[in-house]
Amino acid sequence: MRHHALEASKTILAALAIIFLLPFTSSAQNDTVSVKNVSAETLVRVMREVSGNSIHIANASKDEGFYSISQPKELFVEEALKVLRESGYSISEIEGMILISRGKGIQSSLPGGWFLQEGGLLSSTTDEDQNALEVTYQNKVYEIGDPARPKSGPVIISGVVRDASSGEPIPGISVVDAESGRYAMTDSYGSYKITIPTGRRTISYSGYPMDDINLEVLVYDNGALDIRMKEKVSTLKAAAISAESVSFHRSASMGIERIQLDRIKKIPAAFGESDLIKAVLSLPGVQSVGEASSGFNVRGGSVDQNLILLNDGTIFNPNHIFGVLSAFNSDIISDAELYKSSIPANLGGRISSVLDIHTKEGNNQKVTGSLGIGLLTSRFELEGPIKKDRTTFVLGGRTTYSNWILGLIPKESHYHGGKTRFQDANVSLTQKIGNNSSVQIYGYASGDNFSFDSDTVFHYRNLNLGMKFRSSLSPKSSMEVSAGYDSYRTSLDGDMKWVWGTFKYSNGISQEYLRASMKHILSDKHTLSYGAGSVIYDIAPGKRVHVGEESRVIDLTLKHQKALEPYLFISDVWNANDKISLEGGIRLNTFLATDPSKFYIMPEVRLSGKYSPAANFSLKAGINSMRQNIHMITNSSTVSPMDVWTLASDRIKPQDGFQVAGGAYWSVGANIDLSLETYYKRAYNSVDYIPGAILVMNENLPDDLVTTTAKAYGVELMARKSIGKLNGWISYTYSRSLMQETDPDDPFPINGGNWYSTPHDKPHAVNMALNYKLTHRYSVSANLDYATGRPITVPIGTFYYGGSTRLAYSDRNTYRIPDYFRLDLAINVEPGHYLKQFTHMSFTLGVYNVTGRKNAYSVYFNGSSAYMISVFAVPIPYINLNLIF
Amino acid sequence: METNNTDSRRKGLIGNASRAACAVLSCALLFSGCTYPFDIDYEDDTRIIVFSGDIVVGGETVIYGYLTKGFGNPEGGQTKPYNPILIDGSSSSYFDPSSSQGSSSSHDPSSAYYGYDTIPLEGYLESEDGSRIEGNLEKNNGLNFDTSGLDINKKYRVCLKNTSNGSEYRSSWSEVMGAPVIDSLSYYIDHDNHRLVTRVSVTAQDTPYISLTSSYSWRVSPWAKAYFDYQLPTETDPFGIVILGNNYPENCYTINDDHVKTFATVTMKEGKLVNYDLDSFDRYDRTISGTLRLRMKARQISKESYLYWQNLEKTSSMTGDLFTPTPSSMRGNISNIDDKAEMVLGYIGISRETSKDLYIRNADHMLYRESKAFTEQFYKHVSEGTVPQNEWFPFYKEGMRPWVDVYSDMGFFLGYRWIDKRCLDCTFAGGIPDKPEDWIE
Repeated sequence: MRHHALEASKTILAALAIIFLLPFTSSAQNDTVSVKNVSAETLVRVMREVSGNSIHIANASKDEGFYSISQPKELFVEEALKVLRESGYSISEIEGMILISRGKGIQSSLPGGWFLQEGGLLSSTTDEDQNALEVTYQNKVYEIGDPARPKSGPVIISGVVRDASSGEPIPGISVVDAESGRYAMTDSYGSYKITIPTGRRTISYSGYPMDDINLEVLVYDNGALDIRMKEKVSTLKAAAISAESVSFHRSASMGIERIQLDRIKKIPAAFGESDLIKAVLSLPGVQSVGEASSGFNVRGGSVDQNLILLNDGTIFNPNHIFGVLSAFNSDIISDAELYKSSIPANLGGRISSVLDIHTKEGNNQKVTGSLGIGLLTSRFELEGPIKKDRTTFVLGGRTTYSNWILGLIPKESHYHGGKTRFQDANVSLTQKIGNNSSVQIYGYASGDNFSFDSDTVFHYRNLNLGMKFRSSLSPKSSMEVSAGYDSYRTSLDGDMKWVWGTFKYSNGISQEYLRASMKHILSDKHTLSYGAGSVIYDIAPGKRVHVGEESRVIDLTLKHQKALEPYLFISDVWNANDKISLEGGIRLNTFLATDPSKFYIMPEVRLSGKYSPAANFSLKAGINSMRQNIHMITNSSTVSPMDVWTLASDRIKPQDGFQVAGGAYWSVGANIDLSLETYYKRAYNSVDYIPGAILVMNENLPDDLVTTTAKAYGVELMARKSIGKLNGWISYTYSRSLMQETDPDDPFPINGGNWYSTPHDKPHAVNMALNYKLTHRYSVSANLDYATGRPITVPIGTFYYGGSTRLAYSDRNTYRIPDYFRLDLAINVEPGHYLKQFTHMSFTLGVYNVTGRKNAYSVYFNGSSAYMISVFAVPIPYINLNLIF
Repeated sequence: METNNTDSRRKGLIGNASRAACAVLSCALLFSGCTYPFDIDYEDDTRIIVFSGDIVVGGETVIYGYLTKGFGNPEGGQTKPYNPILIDGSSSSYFDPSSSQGSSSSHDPSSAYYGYDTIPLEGYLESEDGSRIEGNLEKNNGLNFDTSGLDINKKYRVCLKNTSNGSEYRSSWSEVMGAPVIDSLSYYIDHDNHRLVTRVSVTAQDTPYISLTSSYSWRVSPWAKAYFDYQLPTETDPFGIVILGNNYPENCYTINDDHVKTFATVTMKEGKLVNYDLDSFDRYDRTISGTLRLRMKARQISKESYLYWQNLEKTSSMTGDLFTPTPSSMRGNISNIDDKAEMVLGYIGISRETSKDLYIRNADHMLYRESKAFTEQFYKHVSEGTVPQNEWFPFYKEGMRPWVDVYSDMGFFLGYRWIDKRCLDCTFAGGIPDKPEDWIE
């Protein structure tokens, strides 16, 4: 049956492709063809005349609809076919003819095994669950449950939404029962559960970039309904409410951004390297201290207050090449969600945000892959079934060849002869167990090296190993258990010019975790989640080892810091009615540090509510409290390999924080979403360093630290159009991020104990990421980024001391570098629609920083002069090739 | 002279990353650079008080108080009025007799504060038992203390009063720190790079923190040695006459400022700093053309003092990168009695001191060479050929002097080539002709 469906799809797509390509061969014809309120038969006749092709329609007499279309001549047939498809017609190509028929497509021959299938073309039942259906087509009424024994009251329909061609689960698909207004969203594994009344329902499945599905379902009992969605062949016109709109008005959660990988690839980026973190930075409320800098700041929080999860494993340094690229290979990512405000109770450990990234499970039908070649990196991705529909694998890797660039640097430069390189690799194996369970084993490793002046080499590496078991225990219940090991290590090879002897310095952090969570649908109004977990931390603060016999450096290993962080959580989603819903949760965070032992406990509260006075307008509010038992100690503006992680202890308290947020959400028409969110955050017991602090190999690090209180507040305005020819978003953010030293023992607090700006306090920010689809293959993208310059500390005077001229500085972060502005443009060319071609090539041509603005990356001071460094001071053209097979 | 400053290098290592990212990316596109001048729009003109000087038991103690200059002030970088081409060793091989004549090349500590607004001070050195040593105001508002008889077992502090506005300042109580042992002071020739490198080995005593104050002095000859003199025209000699003789000093002596480096030997085996490369000199550096003297003074310092010096080093050059520590001014151990919040810069320590001298003679290492640039510049100040007799006086009036006598291949005397008189005067090459009393050569 599936084979038959695929053949039919190919035939239709081939026909469409031929038709679509025709206009480009005669682009000089600009006449417009218009029809108004014509019947289907008339429409087809006009199509025949316009195209000269053999186009026929069957069963048109039953169609009482009338059609109006006005399009340029070359696009008329394409648009007409689309309109007919949306009206329930199927389009088939047989021996050069295009046949249009009601309902099912016309087949020129019966597929193999046709007479053996009971379920016909449209659905199949599984052996294990009589109420389970797998749906590929929508032109049928499906039955769930036994009509002879219908259940009264609401029932639960659960299932997995997958890509029809690859079998990959699709996250972020909205599932809506049109009559009752009940909704669900597929999670990162494509799973959904929706509670709906029995009887005849219309269930809509929609989400970018898939074609929407509207199913007629006769529901008698609980059941499973797996969906296979096809990628949109035509996205020229919006036809359904976007998944974002559903999320806006159905869920009480706020401050959640789903990052769609397809869109990331269309956002122009430096050197054409599409990048997850750079896409995150284009969202409102997310900032960084500078262009090509490591890490990001969410709503005024510091970099270490973001929890970055890759398949549940923690990534401590998400960057390559000093932050020019992120550590994530975009080809293997399935989806990513950034929680800025309503952080679910099952996630915790950081007080600012959670970036939850999931990788693909792999194509369960055939082996596919891609190759990407850019100016800085090359990457590959390979996925496929080991056993069809049961066992899949994904392999991915990247490397860089940026050393050729360093070779171009003049010899007079400090950097001539320097080297930088990185590699990363992902591997995943997913085994389906029965129909309702799966286990995924996952590994990620990355390594970075860079050196300058050829005397000191920096290294850092991430290693994540994990396993996740997921099971849908019943239509009402599901379970997840995950365990893993995460590690981040940095090291430095120094020589005589560093400290009078050759040595190697290293530090690192590792953790082991075990998490288990359950989700129960208690009723049509309540969904309960609960679980527990624990993290075991082991931090190696520093180790110095002499290298070579002549080195006079004394070996030293600082004592490891170890701690256990167990937690429990419980949360409930209460959909009181269509207008009101509440989400609440409690997470009990405990922390036991050892040697010396110290125990901390704090309940964290998660609460958010929604009121929708109209179907397209919602108001939300929420409060979160969070705790973080781990600190990253840094005295630089951005993440560097020399940063030190330290645990809460008897001398360093855990960081606490809360966020109060509110928002208004308005959907204009079917596909424009407007939002306004405002927030106020406080963080306590964050640490900052005293002037002159020594952070590396310091046995008494707490002596050089002071405690601070931080506050941040802001307003984020966003307009988003998710589907249609023109899609993307524009946002404006006003925000402040301030700190205040609160250490009672410091006689000279930073900036006199007054509030001062954090390094990422950039009050005004405007972001725009737009994509305009010219045709099915060609689109143009624009990306605009404006932000107030970041705060810096500048010299306000010079003085002669100890034989040299020294600099006297202003209070911390009291000046700013110039404002940042950048506009990027790109043209994206997608693969052709030749279905039988083994490989498809897509490429992107673009210009980064079109205006050539000399944005300040940083400012440095030498003697009595100040200089500004601009990383991308000129327009940078690029090309990026991707080969998909 | 190139300073081999390990601390600034350390600071720059990570910081280099950001500049490298810039250089990497721009050079890849064949654009020449991406560093631009940056103007800071100051909101006010804050000037901070600085106290400089250490109490040396058994040695000279002078404390200066002065105000910082605005950043970007054209006079703010180099402070000395005397010949800058010899202060900056890296350019001393460049011939430039047009620069001003040295006038204060002898070691005058107060000259370091030239161009700064020094503060008139009065004050005393107070012992923990209440005894006081009053300070005497010296040249350029330096406050001198007789610290020859201090008891090394007591704590001391400095109490100072700015007599211009009455503000009083006081340092924290400090123990007298000991003196480390200077195990060796030496130099070696780096033949690969044609450089002379000075090095030191020091053993720390009671604390692992060491302050090394290096001061270079050198004996230098004039750019050209004079063999003749010129006597003005008379009735009998209307063009004047050239006579044998040389009225210019043969050698001059220059003493550079003290330069302080601090070290922590806590990471080093046996608490020793072994063969640490201090400074290096290019073979074209005229500083090593005669005799170079390195005077090394070593003192123990407290951890707080060490951290203060380290912060000064870290925050005074190559700052502001994303990867470098955010700079900040660090308070020392002296504060305003009435206004604790006032930012006061400077750390006044107290310690004993050991000293050692090293004389480095070009005759021993023979590394010095005159550079091509030097020679080209030099001959721009020499007459192209011999000067006709009737032009002697006009040449004289233009500041030229007879230099060498010229003969034909047959041995006939042709005349004299003349030279800018500043080339014959070693004071223009830096320094003063008076040999320092402690110069042992």
